[in-house]
Amino acid sequence: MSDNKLKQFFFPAITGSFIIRALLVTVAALVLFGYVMTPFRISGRSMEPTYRDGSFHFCFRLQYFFSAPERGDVVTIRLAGESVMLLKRVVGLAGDVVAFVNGQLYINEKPLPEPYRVYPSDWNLPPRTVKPGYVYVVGDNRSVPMHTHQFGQTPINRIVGAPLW
Amino acid sequence: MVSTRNIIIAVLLVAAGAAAFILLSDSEEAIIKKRFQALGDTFAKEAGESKLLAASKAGKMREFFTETSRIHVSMYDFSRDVARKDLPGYVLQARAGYASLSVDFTDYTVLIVSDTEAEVSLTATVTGKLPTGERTRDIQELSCRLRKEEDLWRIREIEMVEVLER
Repeated sequence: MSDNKLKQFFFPAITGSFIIRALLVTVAALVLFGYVMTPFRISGRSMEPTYRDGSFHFCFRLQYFFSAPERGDVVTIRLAGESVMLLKRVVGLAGDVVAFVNGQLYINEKPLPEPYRVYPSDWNLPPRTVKPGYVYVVGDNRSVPMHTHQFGQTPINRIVGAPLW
Repeated sequence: MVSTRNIIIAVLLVAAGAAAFILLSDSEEAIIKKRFQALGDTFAKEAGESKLLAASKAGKMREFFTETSRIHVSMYDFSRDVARKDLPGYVLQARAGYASLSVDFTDYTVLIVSDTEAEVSLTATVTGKLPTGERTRDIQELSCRLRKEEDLWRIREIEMVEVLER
């Protein structure tokens, strides 16, 4: 590339068409990263080993635009807003009976195979039914004491999206 | 005779003055956010904090609450009135379990109900380090009711919102 072309690439002339292109790129980036694929960084170990503490991801917000979350999906859940969200896995759907016995998750009295859960767990939780309009979510890392882990049923309308990878 | 140019300049000056007034004067919403930031700073604890500073900070926490404030924790079916005079004791007790502690408030939704009443919804993130070196992080959605007393917004009710119901 000649010096002239390099200079033109890094220091383009501020013409009308350049300003329009720059504005379009800015608006597209704002829409894409603000409303479609929101970047987020994981802080915490509740989804290990599937999602590592400190790793960087994008939340795809259109994931549940036309469909409802399914069992096994990893979802982001908003609190008062979307600056800080919870990342959890859906294990139970509305009407399901969820229970933990010695770390094993039971859905409708049947053990649920969970290849994503690698660490041992000793959780015990009596059966409870997921309410209509809710899903039951839990982290993959259940090696921590049950009372320190945030899990349970949450309204579907709190689900913002799903991580892209 | 008043020229069009002078009218435009006058309109621009008025607009600039109005914008400067809005930008430079704090809205009630901004004042409430600052109160929560100050609350977080007061509750925070640095490693090696002296007992004198801990006692001073615990005492200062009283400024942020009304004479009696109510705490609801629906997940534990807990509801309790806390007197302002008892707050420092609770604060000292809560902070004692940590070597260091920080509190961040985000995602504010502020509703000014009247000149002296406001409702605030926000997310609180409490990051701590235990004396054993273990790090902890708790996230909680809070719904608060505030009352303006002596020209200061004070918390009169806190509800811990149950986002995940076991």
